Parts: sequence; C-alpha cells; structure tokens
Amino acid sequence: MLISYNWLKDFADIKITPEELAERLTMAGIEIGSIEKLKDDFIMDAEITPNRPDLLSMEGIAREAACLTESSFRELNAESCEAENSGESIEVKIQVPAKCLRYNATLIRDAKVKISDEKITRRLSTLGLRPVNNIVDITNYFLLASGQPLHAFDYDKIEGSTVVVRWAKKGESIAALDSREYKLDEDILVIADEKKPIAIAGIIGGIDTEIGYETKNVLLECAHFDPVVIRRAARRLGISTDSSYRFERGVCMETIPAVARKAALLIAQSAKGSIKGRRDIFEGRLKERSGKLRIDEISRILGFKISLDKVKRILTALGFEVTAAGERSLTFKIPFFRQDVSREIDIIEEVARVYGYDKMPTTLARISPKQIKKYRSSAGISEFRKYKIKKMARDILSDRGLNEVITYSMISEKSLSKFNYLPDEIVKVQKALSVEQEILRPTLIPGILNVLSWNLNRQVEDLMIFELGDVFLNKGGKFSEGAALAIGLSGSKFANDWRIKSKPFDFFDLKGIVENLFSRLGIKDIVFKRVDSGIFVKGRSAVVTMADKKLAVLGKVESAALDTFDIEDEVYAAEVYLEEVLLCVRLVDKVKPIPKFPAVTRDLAVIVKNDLSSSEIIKMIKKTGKGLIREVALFDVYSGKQIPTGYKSLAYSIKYQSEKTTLTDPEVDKVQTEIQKTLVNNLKAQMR
Amino acid sequence: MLKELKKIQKEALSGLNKAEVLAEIEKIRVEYLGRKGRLTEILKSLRKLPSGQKAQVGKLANDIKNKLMGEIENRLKKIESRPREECVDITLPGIVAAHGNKHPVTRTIDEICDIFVSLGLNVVEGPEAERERYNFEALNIPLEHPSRDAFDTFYIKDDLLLRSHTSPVQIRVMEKEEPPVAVIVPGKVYRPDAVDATHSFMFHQVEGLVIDKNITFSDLKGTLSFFANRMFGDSVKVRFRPHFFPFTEPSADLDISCIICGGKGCRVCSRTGWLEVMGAGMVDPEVFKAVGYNYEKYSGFAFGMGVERIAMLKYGVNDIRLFFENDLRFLRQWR
Ligand SMILES: [Zn+2]
Repeated sequence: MLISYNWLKDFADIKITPEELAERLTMAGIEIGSIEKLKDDFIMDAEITPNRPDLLSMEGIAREAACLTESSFRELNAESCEAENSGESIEVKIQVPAKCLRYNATLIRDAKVKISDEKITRRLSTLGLRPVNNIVDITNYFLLASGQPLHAFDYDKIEGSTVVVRWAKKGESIAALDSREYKLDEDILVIADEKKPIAIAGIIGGIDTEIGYETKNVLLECAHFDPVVIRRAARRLGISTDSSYRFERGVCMETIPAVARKAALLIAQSAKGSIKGRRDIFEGRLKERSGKLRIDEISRILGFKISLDKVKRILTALGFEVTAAGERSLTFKIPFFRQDVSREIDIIEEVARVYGYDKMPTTLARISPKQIKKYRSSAGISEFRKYKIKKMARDILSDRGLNEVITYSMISEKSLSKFNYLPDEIVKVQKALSVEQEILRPTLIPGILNVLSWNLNRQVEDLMIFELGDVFLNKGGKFSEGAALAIGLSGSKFANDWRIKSKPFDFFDLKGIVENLFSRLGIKDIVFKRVDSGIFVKGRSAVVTMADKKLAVLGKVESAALDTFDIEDEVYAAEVYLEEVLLCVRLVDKVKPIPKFPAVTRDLAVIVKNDLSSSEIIKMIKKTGKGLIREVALFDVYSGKQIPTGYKSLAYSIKYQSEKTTLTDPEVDKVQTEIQKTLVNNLKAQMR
Repeated sequence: MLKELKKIQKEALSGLNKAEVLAEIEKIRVEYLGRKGRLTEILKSLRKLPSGQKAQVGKLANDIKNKLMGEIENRLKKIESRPREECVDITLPGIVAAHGNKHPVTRTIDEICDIFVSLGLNVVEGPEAERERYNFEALNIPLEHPSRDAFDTFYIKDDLLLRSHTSPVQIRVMEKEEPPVAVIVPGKVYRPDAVDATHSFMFHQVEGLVIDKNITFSDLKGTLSFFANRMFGDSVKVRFRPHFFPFTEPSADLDISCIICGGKGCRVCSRTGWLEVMGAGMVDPEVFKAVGYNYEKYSGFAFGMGVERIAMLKYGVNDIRLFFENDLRFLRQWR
C-alpha cells in the first residue's frame, strides 16, 4: 500500500524525516520497501500484513506513526459515531443480514458533478488512483483516509428507488465499472434494485448506476460485508479492488456512520447538493472487548522485564484504554478497529513491537538433553538415524564420483509410458501446472533419465549421477510415500586417464557402485538375482535381495525407454528402495581378530557352460572347503580360442586359512582336489 | 709420441669427468680403449717403434690405459651410486579420481542442519504429502482468510495435499512427543507458483522448533543470531523485524546485512542494505491448543527458511531454475 507522508501529517504531528519514519515503521512491522519523492511529498510503499486491516488507511498508519514517535494524534472521526435515521425515507432491504451486518445509506439531492478540487485530485493521483469526478473521488478519498470503502450510485437509475442486499440469482450478470461483464452465481452477494444487480457487494459497482456528469441525485453507500463472502466472490470472479482488498481483511463496523456523515458532508459541499435522507441498518452488535495483561507473562514470553508504566504508555498510544492498573497486571478496553487483538499474547506482541525487538536481550536457548530418546519413526528407528543414513548414502556416492541431482517430484505421464505401472497405482496431482507435472513420481528413474538427456543434449558427457528423494504410489488403493535412491550412468570411465583407453560404463560398473553402497552401510549377505522387468534389457538386469526383501533393481535401460527421453547413448540405472534399506543398515560391527596363522593361496580354473553362474561355483567351492576357505576371488573370465562355444573359462584364487593351525601343503592339496572333484561331478565343470 | 699420449690422457680424463650417464662413459671407453680406440692403436703400433723409445712409450701408454680403466670404473660406480633419475614430463595431468559432489541444495541443508545440531536440536523429517489439518488448521491458518494466500496448495485428493511449508512437521512432532522438544526439519515443499527466476513450484525449507519451560523471545533472538553468524559469517549484522505468521506470536523476520554490498544498498537487497533470510516467532497459543500442550507451563519458538534463497544469496546464483535443471556444468562447481 502506498502512503503519503504529507497526508499522514493531517493526523499526526510527525517531526522526523520520511527516511527516519520509514525506518521506525519497518522496525515496528510495517515494512517500507521504498521511498520516492514526489513534488513536495514523499511516497512510501508499505507491506501491510493480513492481520492488520486497520493499517490499510492513512489514519491507521498515522496512529502507528504517532505512537512510535511519541507525537500527538488526531482521529478522523473525532465527532460522535451516532447513527441517524432521518429525512426522506430510503428503501433498503437486507435479505442476507448475516453477511451484511451494517448498511448505511445517505441521499444527496441536487448535486452538481464536476472535476474535484485540486487537493483531492492530487492526493488520489499521488497514491495511484485515477481521479474521476468529485463524487467518486470523495468516496475514494475516504477509502484511503479511513480504510472504509464507500460507493456512490446514481439514485435516479436505481429502479424502484429500492436497494436490496441479496445473493445473486443463477444466470444473472452485471456490467461493472471496469468495463467487464461478470457472470454471477448464488454464492455472490450483490446490491440490487427491484430488477437487477447494481453492484457486486463490496467489490465493484455496476455501470448502469454509475455517477456521470448528468447525475443529480446520489445515493452514498457505506457498509460492512462478510470477509469470507467477499473473498470467495473476488477469487471466483478473478478481480481484486481497493474495496474488496479491505473487506476481505475486515473493516471496522463502528465508524461507519461517522465516515458516511463526513463523506456525505464533503460531497454536499463540493457538489453544492443537500443531504436529504439518512438510513443506518445495523444487524450486528458492537461488543465492548477488554483484556488483561500480566507483567509476569510478558517476561515469561519475551525474556525480560518491562515496567507497567511503559506498557501503559504504549497501549494508550495505540488506542487502548487502560481501565485498571494493579501491581502486576492491568486491564484495558480494546479499540474496535483492532479486531486482531483479543488475547494476552496479542497485547504482548503489541508491547514487543513498539518497544522494539532490537532493544530486547539475546540469549541462547537451553536445549534439554531429554530429547535424545525421542522422535522414533513407526518402524522403530530414530529420525536422527534415518537422516544420518541418508546423509551417509549421499556421501558414499558422491565420494565414489557421482553427482547428486534434485529433480521435480512431479513428472509427465509420458515419461512413465515404458514402466509397468497400473493406472490406479499412479498418484495424480489435481490442477497440475502443465502436462509435464501431472504425476507424483512412483520412481526416481524418469528424473535421472531426464537429467542425463538434458546434459547429453548439451555435450556434457561421461555422467554418473544419483538422486535421493521420496516416491509416491497407490498400493492396493492405499496411498504411500517413501524414500528411494536412484543411480544413472552414461558414457565412459577413465576419461581423464590419458595412460589408458577410456571404457564405456557397463553393468559391472553399476553393480560395483551398488555393492559399494550396501557394504559401506553394513548390509551383508545381499544376493543379486536375474530379473527381466520393466525398462531393463533382458539378461542385463538384476534385483538385489536380502532375506527375501527386495532392496534394489539395476540394469541396462531398454532403448525403447530411452527414446521417450530422447537419449541415444547407453544408460545403466539402478533404483534402491531406501525405506527397506534403512531397516537393514548396521552402522556398528564388532571387529574380528586378525588371523594368527598364515594363509595359503591356490588358483583354480574351470570350464563351464555359459549359463552356469559364477555365484553358484563360489557357493560350491565354499561349501566343500570345510570351513578352511577364507576368500574366493574371481580373477579371470574368458571365452574364445581353446574354449568350446557355449562354454566359458572362469579362474578363481582361493585363500585357505585356519583359525587353529598353520595349514600344510598336503592338507590344502587334499581340500583343493576335493573341490575339483565336486565341481566336476556336481556342476559338470572341466578343469583347465 | 709421448706428447700425443699425454694429450690422449688429458682429453680422456676430462671427457670422463664430464660424463653423466652410462652411455657417455661407454662412448669414451670405445673411443680410447675399444678395438680401434686411440690408445689401443698406439699400443698396437708399439712394435714398430725403435727399441729405445719402445720401453718409455710402452710404459706410459700402459700406465695411461690402467689409469683410464680405473677412472672408468670409479666413474661408473659414482654414477650408479647416484639417485636414479627417470625423465618424465611432469606437466602431464595427474590421474585424479573422478569426484562427485552433493547437490547445492543438499549441501546448504547440511550446513544449516549442522549448525542447529551443534546446538542440540534433532533432525526430523515428515511426509511431503500431508493432511489439511497439519498443513493449515492445526497451524492456526483459517480456511478462508487472506493469510492463506501465501499458502496456495497442490491437492492430490480430498484431505491430501502437497505440503506448502515444512511447518506441518511441527504439529506431527508435538502430537507425538511431550515437551521438551527441539527439532530441525529439512524438506521439500510445493506451491503452485508460475516458474520464474525466483519462483519454483517445488523448493526446500528448513524449519525449527524449540519448546520447553522458560523458552523466550530473547532465546529466539540469540539462537537465530548465532545461526546467522555461523552461516553467513561473523561480520554480518542481524536484525529482527516484527512480522505476521498465523502460527507464531510475536512473529519476526530475520534480516542480515546484505552480503553482496555489505549493507550499502544494491540491486539484490533492493537498496535497503538488508536481506530477509527467515521468518520466526513464539509458537502461538492456538497451536499449543491444537496439539494439547499446556501454554501456561511451556513456551517455545519456531522458525523457517527457504533453502534455495539462502543458497542463491550465499553462492551468487541468480536463477532458482538452475537448481532443478541439473546441468552438470552448474552442479560440478560445488566441490
Ligand atoms: Zn545489497
């Protein structure tokens, strides 16, 4: 809201410069964004928080300014606020009294519509309002001065000379003063005459009853409308006016007759007309409100002591009336315009605000150690542990050379076209901003592929990326959200090693990263099983399980799936089900003693059929090893010359070690022979 | 002839002295002592000399030969005992292990959380898909009031929405735990804003909550000033300005002196010299009521900040969209 420095001086004897005033207002919660000099005036741009409708006027700002600068303040409506019903009768029918608690109408006859005088024109244009004519300008002038919206109708154009406050009827519409046609419905409150709506209540007037130069008789409306009704209507119609902005936040009912009287007088004076009738329909009640403030409560909340005297001065300057002051508390009447104040804490805030946050002490909060035992998730692990493990996973992967990415949680339906999700498993966002953001991602892989695509299309190559974030799914009609982690590789490794040729990433690079992650999180005994699923190439994908719990999937991404993302390069991707993984993590392991007796290493090379997996051979070797095998490591895989087609040669290095004794060569030879025999007999292996 | 021999000796020895590598010594050996070496030739030609000269020249030639052989031996030893040298172009690039990094948003979240964790707060997370009660009602945000304008929201279905701030986690924590509580809550939030250089429909916040007996506004000031100086540097000035939030009272905005211009006023701080970095306040009694806390006994403060905004200020990023484009040329700059 714009503020005129000179206008404020109508109300308060401000003796400080505009800059100083802006600083004081800002530090009291009325943030001044900028000050601009305009001829002999200064225009400040203020941000008024939604709890303070009383500040949406020059009078309100001036009251605050007077309080902050300890200068005197003159109210706009110093005279009585008494309502009056007098003179010519004016027909006002309020059909929805709950939504229009007060309606004040004044009839001014024989008015001469003309251009406003210089002072009013200047003040309006200074604050960004376009002067129209003396009648309209005076309504706007009072809106700015007092915060109370007013509206003037051409009385002769009101059919039946009757004003009705009612809900709009279905199918009704109105041509408004902004030259737009609004279609109304039954949730929108209107001011109507006998036939049709003549204004959208509290928002904008109709063009049919507009004040023009031919207007003679004016009906001045000064009313109160329900904030929620106005807000809904304004949002529905996509319109916001100075009037609706104030009604939405709440205007003060008490001062309506006084503002109406002042405005009518000024109109009569300016237009040389005469006030012929007044009507004030008041369905609400002005409730005197009072409050109590304990001095101990101030120090409990703010952390320092302040004298009751000082508090009294602050409250009085803000328009509160202190009715009783005790030793440790005081009681006061709350002014009508401060609808935001009702509780003790509201008063404490007023005191703190005016006293100045800057002047308050600064202390460090004492944090109770009791909390360490708190904050456990339903699965029993602490929130802190969850956070720590996620942080670890990020550290492990970034240390391993991967870049973390963060993509939007909303993705397009198209990006999931090659994934195997059932339509009702997918979670949709209502009123999505675009087709690119219709779906709450059930998987992180589309996001990973999008990032790879973005970079590859910009010649950024050799990419290793990961993302950690929540995924969303409807499982059997039940919505679920959980953390996941995805990895994507594209391009080559060793790109920065000029000594060796770079090598494209393959399945085993990806598998190694996944194994690394699990082993560093203390997850052992994981099993990689072949799986043919979804977006992965058949034969080049695996599922990682531990005790039948599915922990991850990984593989080479199908080119059909990559096409959706406009990627031509090979991509390897993995997704880790973090919610499951979190439960398997072992952060602490007891150390094992260093072996006391030396190890003996023997190599073993076998030729087996292609479809026999290495893990089966290792399993068999270990089983036959009678507890003497410490480690079996694969060191060569070969097929080609000297190996029959359909077969492969695998070479292992077997490390024998006993915990009880030094093994002799014959002892080791015996076991090794037995292993060879078993492999030949059970796995149809051939020794090399 | 004698003169010739002396010359050979002098040349051979000085050549040897200059020899630094094995090949040079070998070359000298071949030149003087090889099958066709200069000294060998002289020794071969001794026969042709008159007997008077033979003995004298022969002795000198043999002495020189022995001396030369001895010197060669010494020189070889000397060179071999020297530290080895293998010439490589040491300006070729070292083999640096490819290193990755965390996303700048994660990095900033970690920085923020670490400071509060050091003060004793606990990291707690909550769901991004949230119920209306947690996102609004329990936080004293009325259904239809202008104060809700700041919290426009994506809905998934009835009573399920994408949280528009991390504050719902305050309610979840308080519902579950009795006071005292002290938590710091990082996470994603969503608002249906049109995307531009400073707005995104998804961004991150970090929220904090401290509740106990005798927690005061002065504690809020001190704790958050400590944070601001740790996060932005000792020389940064901090100020608290009254503001309004439905779930706190009194409420404040925390400003730091502009880290771009040092408080003199620039485009980034809109010439004010100050940058708003977070909102905070004493937890509103209505929130206590919603979670069944006793307001007469306990008090507390809450605060919240936008992570991207802080990262943008701290690292001079001028467009929020860069965080979600994930161009590796941008991301790799965070070492
Ligand atoms: Zn600046």
